[in-house]
Amino acid sequence: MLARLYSFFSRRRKLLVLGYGCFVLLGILCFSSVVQEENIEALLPDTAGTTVRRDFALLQHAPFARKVLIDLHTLPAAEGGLSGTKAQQSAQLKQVAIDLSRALRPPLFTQALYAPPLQSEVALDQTLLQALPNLVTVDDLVTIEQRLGEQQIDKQLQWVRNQLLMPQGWWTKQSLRSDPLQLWQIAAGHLRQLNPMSKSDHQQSDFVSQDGTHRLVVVDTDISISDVAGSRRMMEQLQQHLVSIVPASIKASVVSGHLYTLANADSVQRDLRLVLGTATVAILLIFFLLLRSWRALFVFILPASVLGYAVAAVAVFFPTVSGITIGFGAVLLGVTVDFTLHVYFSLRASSEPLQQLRSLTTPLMGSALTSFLAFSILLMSALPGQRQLAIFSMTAIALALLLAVVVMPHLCGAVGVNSSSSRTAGVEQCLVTTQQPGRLWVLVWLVVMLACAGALPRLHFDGAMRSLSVATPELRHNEELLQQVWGNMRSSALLFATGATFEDALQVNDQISQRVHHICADTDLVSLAAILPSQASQRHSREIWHKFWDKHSGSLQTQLASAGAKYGFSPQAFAPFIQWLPREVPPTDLAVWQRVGLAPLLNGLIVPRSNAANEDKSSNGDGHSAALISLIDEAALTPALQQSIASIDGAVVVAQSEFSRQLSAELATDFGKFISVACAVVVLVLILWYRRWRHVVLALLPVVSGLLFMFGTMSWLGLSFNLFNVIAAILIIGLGVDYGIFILSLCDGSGCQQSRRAVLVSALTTMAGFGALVLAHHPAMNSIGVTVLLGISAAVTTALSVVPVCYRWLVTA
Amino acid sequence: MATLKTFLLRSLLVLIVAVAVVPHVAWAIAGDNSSAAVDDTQLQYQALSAEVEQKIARAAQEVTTLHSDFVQEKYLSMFAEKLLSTGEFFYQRPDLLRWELLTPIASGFVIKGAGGRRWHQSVAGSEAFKLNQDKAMALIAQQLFAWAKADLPWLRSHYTITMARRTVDPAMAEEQPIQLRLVPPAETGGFLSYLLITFAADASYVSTVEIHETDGDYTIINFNNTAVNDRIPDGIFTDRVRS
Repeated sequence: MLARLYSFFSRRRKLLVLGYGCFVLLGILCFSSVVQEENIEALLPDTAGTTVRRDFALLQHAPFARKVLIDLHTLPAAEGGLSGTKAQQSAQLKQVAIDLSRALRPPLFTQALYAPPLQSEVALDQTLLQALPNLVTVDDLVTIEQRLGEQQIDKQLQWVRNQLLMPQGWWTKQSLRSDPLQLWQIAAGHLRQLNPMSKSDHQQSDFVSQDGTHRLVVVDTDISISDVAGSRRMMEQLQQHLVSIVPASIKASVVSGHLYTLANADSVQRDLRLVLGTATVAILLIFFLLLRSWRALFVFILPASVLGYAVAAVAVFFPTVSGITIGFGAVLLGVTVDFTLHVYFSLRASSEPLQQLRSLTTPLMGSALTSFLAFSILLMSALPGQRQLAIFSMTAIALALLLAVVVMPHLCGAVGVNSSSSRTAGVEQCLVTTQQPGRLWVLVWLVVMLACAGALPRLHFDGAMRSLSVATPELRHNEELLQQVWGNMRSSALLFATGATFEDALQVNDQISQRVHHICADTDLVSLAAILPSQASQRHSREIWHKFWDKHSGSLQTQLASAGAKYGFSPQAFAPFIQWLPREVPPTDLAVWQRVGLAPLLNGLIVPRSNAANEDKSSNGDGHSAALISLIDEAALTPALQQSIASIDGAVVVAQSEFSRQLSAELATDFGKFISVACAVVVLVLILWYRRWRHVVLALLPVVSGLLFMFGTMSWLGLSFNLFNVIAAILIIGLGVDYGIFILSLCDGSGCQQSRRAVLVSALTTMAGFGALVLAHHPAMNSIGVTVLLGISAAVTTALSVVPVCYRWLVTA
Repeated sequence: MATLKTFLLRSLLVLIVAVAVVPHVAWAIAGDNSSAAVDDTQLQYQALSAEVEQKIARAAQEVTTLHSDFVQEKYLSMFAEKLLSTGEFFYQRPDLLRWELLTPIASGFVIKGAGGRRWHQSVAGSEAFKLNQDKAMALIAQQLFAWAKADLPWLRSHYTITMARRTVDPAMAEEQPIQLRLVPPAETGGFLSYLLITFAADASYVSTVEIHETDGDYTIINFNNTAVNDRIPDGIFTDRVRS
């Protein structure tokens, strides 16, 4: 079949070129018509029993995940800080915060707050008083009881009288009549539970730190964190405002997910310039030194032209193709360059190309088969991105092999060398290398392998996405500052309360709040439960409220009358208050707090209905369509507390650290499973292919060496294994087994003498192209570069220097 | 007989004199007793004449500083008796003001431009505020400045102004001090029903302000011992402690 195809196209070169041209165009069309998406969820497991995907989706609702936080703080006087008294400095700092928040306007900034957005037209104290019977707790009633003492009432009425003497009294008179004991403050204490800034000064109405030297401006934006161009525009405008509004005596520290995006994008761009430049120079050098012909370009063009078809194949089985699949797939195309490279070197040096092609077919098929089957293991992966990669790679390998044996022979151009003499020369060359220096190589190799094996137990798999991200020193400093001054609001654990209805979710939320306060009484919990309990909780609160006043209102009236008379109050002065106490108040609902202006704070703790329903469908489909969020410091989320909350029906606990740990474990399991099964498949194929254990061992040596050297060296250097290293490891397996098969074919005479050169060039181009990534500063790119350099260098060295020696010992001797 | 007739004639004469004179005497006494609010029903209201307006404006233009004591009487239904307090008031054109209660509690504020400081006897020191951030203080400042400056254009933009006259002999009308009644629009009045502002005889400053609330409560502030255009040290308008 192969001979017929070769003969057919050797007489019809133009048809071949035309056909290949159409093939390329169709491939481009396929690539451009496929729907791609950039979605990190392709890297998240989606099998039953795992909650990683659900947790990731839930983490996107973290209230501060999408905000821009600006910390303004006064510099010490020695550093050119503000002059004047502390009060003056505080007033100046406040004014800067106000000016800045007013300057940050749409379209880039939807809202900027330096304080909770309370509506000044609405009497907050009246609203809080009316809501109090619905919110009151046993602890609140204890506090109220303390205010009913004779001395306290006397002092309070004196204060009321003084308030009425001042001009402000005109505005506060009605409030003072209806709430002389200032009970609204009890309800105001509940509002503090909406404040996620655990370390701020809760006595102040603005976002102020405990020591008063820091103020926070919280900025909302519609710019997505993954939008690089939008993030850049937004940050540039923010910087302009900071320069024009914030004086030199005040420092502004900005923290936002957008800054991480920009840091990564800038780092990648800088790195790409360096890496691409270095890789281009290196590949050109290889090209000129070792390839020396324009026809060598087809070595790279042919494998690249299958990219569109590989993507189209993925699109047949998946609705959208992940951009991560395409990116990783492009890396794995390095495996397919081997096929065209071997054909190029072999046929160019031969005067009998068809004969050469026949002898090359066996190792080519063996190489393709092992890679094909190794990648097919990925179909069992828990990660959808890996499954896409499997289809991509299998299609690419099959098509690349086809092009290598059908098209490449006609494009590489024969130079002409006697093939039979070249075959023996190849064997001799193989054997010549088995002299003393070869034995030394094997000894060195053995020592290195043993040392690497010894380091393996220390290898750590890091599944945290953040460790693959760039964080500038300034960003890290600002994150630490934010945490120190304001609390851990950006990385708090999320406690989700889900329910079929909003009321159901409120009930679950109440249970969560009670459980937290019962187990960890001193823990700060940001929750709606304190101001928006469920209807059942509100009924209970009203009950205890009325019971309390049934007991105390009589004595209160007496005390108000006697103390009031002392200060000149009339007997009916506080009649509105006394009449209100036993009255039934309407339940408190969301609208009450929205009218007061608390919507922005509340909305951060309420998952929009459609999102709640969608995420529930993607997780367990129990019909939950309402969800509320509570925030708790991860450090306070003890295992006992986590377990207790998780036992509540409808409650979900999502902690960033736990998510990372879980993802890490899932990826490690998935990767371990893949490597193990892929290696087993490769071994099985080699056994079936060679049917001689010595040949199998020799063919496996480069793979084993590459992996062992990579893992061992990373372990010795204290480097963690991450998701990107997995892809590089797959490349090493694919190429390593290729090197073994071709060098073995060279040694046993079944292959071509040019295989040695082909293996060398393949390794060099791979190391030049991907190894240059080791120069990158971006963690993800750098880790790929390190892995490829270590693995490929070990694999090719083993293939060229150790396999021939071992072949002599094991086979020839 | 002649003796009885004479007695009856003398008695009738006394009676006539008493009926004719006593009301005037009573009125005179009532005019000096500032503890009682003006009975609204005793007043007649007419549009503010251009002549009066010009008189007020001319007089106000000559005023650069004001300093007076004040007595504040609050008649609130919450209290069995009136609440009495005393204090001091300072004003300097264009935007300096000090309002200080001295008895029965020490509290007050100073305003300098767009901001100021306030204090209370129960708290040490003072607290800064900005008028654009404190609605209540802004409203108070607006009122006080309007009264101090006799800022009729501002008052007209916020109130319906009429001139109040007592229902007495028109011949005495010219001698009455100028009294303006200011009624806020219903939608913005809030607690305020109307203000009654009485000017000094030469119209150069406000001598009395009555604040009538919608629930019937009212406050009378009488400014006494007013010094016009005296030099006031700057420290008066800076902080609680007068430097």
